[in-house]
Amino acid sequence: MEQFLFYTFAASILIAAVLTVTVRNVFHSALYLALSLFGVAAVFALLGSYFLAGLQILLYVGAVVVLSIFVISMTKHITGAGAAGTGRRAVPALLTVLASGALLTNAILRTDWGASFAYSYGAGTDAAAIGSHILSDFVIPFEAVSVLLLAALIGAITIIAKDGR
Amino acid sequence: MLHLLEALLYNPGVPLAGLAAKARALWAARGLPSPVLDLVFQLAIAATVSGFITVNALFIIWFDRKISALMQLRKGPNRVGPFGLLQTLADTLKLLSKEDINPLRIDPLAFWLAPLLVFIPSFAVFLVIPFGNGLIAGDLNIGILYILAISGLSVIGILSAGWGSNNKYSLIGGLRSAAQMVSYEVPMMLAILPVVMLTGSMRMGAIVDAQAGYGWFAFMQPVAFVIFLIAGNAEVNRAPFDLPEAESELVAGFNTEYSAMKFSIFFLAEYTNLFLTSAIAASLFLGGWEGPLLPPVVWFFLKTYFVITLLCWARWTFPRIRVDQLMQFSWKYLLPIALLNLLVSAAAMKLL
Repeated sequence: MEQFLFYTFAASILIAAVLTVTVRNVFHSALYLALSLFGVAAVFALLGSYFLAGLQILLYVGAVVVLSIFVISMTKHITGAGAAGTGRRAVPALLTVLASGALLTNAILRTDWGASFAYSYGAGTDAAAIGSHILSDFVIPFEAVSVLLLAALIGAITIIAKDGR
Repeated sequence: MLHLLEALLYNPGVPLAGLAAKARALWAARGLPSPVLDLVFQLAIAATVSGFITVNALFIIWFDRKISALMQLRKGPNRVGPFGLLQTLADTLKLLSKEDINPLRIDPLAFWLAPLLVFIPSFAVFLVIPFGNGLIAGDLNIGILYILAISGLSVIGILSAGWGSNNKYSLIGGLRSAAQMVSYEVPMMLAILPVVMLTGSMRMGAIVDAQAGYGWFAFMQPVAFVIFLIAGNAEVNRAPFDLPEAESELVAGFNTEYSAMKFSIFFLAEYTNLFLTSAIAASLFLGGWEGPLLPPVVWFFLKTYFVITLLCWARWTFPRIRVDQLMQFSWKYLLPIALLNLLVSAAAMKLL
């Protein structure tokens, strides 16, 4: 049963991810992205990491996708008619894909999956454990990320408020 | 018989689980595999919840109309059935028999998916609502986080309704709704956090247990309770926060182009969300199903309907606010107050 569910979710993640970049309608693309991210949450839940699954839905599906749909709705109305692809940035796009693919493959090959599997099935990924890890072992990266986000926020406000308001 | 009835009323989790176990054993003896049995039981629970959602929404719509009539010195629905109780049933039958209109040049995928994306999250939230002692479909250890995560998904449905309808009023309504729901989700979460901190758990059952003996969090966290009620009212898009479907300026907002069954699903989802927000407020701040003498389920519904009455009262008393006022109220008033409340609560918990 568990294996059947895993393959169902894995297939829906991959199919939705491919559809995200291949469909011509930007709004549909965002909907498929939501489905793909939801599938990742389902896999987290299947692995027993309910807290991560909840956060995945709350932050990625509930916030990131909603914001991108919000931005898409502000664009020129293109319901039905697909935006034509130009292929002008094909080479930089290919390079980016290859680079991030190499990074991810490297990370996947280097990870000790047995250990992390045992860890996620235990109490290792519940809210309390993650919280104490973040505020003890990983406090410096955590604070660095916070400062980075704050800087991005202030930068965005500065760009918007250029006309002196 | 009387004993079973009493057990069902006061501690329904145990006899229901016993009945389910007996039924399982009976069918397993006849050679049904376990996954099939699981599926059958889950489908049975889902069917019960769907039935409950429909009947309950019919009642809440009648209740809301009666309260509005009371406030406006009218009689309200009083023709169909006793006290007009069957009026919403008649309206539903009328809606179902109407033509399902699909406007030209809609985006079919977004248009058809939208009612489902709005309704399914409110249906799924019922999983962790504690109706009574042990009467909870699945007491997840991330209970309240699950509620916040799943109910946030309905924004996607409202946005696709606005986008898919190919209508400027719908699009503006959808955008307004999304902005409003995202903005009010933040103070709502910050209002829930002190409750989670006081309980030390996100499990709904544990949150209700922590308030046993009248230690209601509404007394300990009055500010958080008020913020939760305001933000919850904004999340369900009801007056004074009903800008997404402001009739006088946007026709009907994101559901302008919807008719018949699809419209009734939006309507059902709205009233289900009202019930859910009230049920969550009752569970988090008013002690949930805890209470003397009366059975827990009765207490749960009494408290939930108390909160529903409060929200209906607000709906029929306050005028609709403007878009800029709506955003300012959330980001400039509710958010700082909620943050301050969180800080003071954390300091008090550390010191006391």
